[in-house]
Amino acid sequence: MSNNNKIIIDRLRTLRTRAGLTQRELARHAGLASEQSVEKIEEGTRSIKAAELYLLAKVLHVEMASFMKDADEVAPIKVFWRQPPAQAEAIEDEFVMKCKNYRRVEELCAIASPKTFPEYGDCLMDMNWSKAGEYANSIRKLFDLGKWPAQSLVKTLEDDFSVKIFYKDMEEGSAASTQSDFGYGILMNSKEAPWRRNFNFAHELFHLVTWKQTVEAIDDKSEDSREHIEKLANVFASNLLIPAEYLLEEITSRLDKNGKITYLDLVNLARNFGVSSEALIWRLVNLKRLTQEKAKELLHNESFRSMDRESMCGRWIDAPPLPERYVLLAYEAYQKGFMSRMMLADYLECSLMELDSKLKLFGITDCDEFDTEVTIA
Amino acid sequence: MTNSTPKSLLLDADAIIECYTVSAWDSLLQKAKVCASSIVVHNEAFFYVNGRLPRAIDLPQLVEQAKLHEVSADPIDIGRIDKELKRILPLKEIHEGEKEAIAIVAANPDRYSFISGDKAAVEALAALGYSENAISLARALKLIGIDKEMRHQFKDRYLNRYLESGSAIRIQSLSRR
Repeated sequence: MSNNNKIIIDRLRTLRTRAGLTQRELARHAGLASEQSVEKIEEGTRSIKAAELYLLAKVLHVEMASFMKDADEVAPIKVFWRQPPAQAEAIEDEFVMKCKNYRRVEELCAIASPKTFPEYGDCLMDMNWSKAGEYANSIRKLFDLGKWPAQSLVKTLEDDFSVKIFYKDMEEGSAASTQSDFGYGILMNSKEAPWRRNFNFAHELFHLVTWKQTVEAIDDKSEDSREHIEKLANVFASNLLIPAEYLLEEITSRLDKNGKITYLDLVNLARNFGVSSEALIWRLVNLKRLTQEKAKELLHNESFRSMDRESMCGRWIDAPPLPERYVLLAYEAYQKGFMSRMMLADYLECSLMELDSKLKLFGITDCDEFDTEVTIA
Repeated sequence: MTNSTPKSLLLDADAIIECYTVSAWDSLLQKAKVCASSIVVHNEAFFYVNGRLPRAIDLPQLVEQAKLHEVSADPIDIGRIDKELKRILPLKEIHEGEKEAIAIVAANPDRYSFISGDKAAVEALAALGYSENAISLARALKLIGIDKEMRHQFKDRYLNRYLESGSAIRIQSLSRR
């Protein structure tokens, strides 16, 4: 057996195992002619064909060329989950592949390497809730997120820091983040409510701005460290999205002469801040404007809950199938001849025959003009 | 720069779709030896419309019926093409099916004429030194007596423009060695 074939077989086996697939399952998912195909390839009793390698690469979410690289050239990239779903590794590989594709279209469109977040300089294990809150405030001001941070957070992450944000329908698991040569990436569960997603974005941002130390904590496999970091991330997210000064300003302006605020005002404030009513109520508890007992009573109050549910109707924003910025960049790369049409269809996860319809969803009508350049003095 | 006589015609997926769209696909299959790379043949995902595969573009079935010829390259050869393209055209992203087609042409330059309406793929072919193996779909059809109106990407003028730019890149890369 040639060395090249041995490398391909070893890579195939490693990736298949990581994806949690048997040989037959992989053959089936890839649509190979025979369910024994993968078995025979891994045994070395037959060689692998180009079309098979291509289909296997798609299922395993890697580039075809990566099959011909040594293992140490293609080590998995770390992904940090809030709550990992079953088969997390397979989802991670798909997510990382998408982040790599996103960075590739940025390169093809001559977009410089992504800006990096300021990394938290002190020891993360020494951070307490108060410091987490202060850090959130400093990040909010640095990013210039304004009074309603949720309204601009995602756009700031994408446009200013080239954070690659993808959504996936997952039965379990909420959000994940990663960092590598391609920059930063966030994977969000598209089944979650928009306000829940906002909170997750802020939570994941904490992990990204403390990435080095977060990864060290994961590598140490200490449950206490992980739990501490997760709690800090929640405090950070709450402070980032619901700045104390603005919340108290809004609350004060809505109090009646008896110091009471209506359920409707509370619910609307939660919607304005782009968070769940629960997050807002607990924020008021943290700011000592509400007791824990009152908060629990409120969150179990049927009128309050009913008002909360009704306010959600009409505000549910579906997660985009692909990031708009990614689609626009990929199309630009294609239009300029840096990417082939077949590759564009791949990147946009659609059939070549349906590519025009897919582009139309993003407001793009494929321009068929031949001469599309002009000289500028 | 373009062949006057088509050899075996190696079409990429978009060329197949264009041929089908202008209702020349069946005639082409009847009158010429038409090939597709194995990755294109087996990647049905290219051709689905509303979840269905148009029967005329069920490429594996056409191969079974010997109406279409499937040609494959060794994955190692595709890897070599990939590596060479990354070296001379680092800001170019073409599909594995297109790389396989180029690998097939590279292994058998006397046997195949490559048909693509894609500037990235055409430039890549020329940059690797295989301009002589390119032919436009319009010309290939004309040579077998079929004259159809089609998108400009599949005509001579478009092809020649990108063969030229690809050849220029090749000259630059050779002079740097």
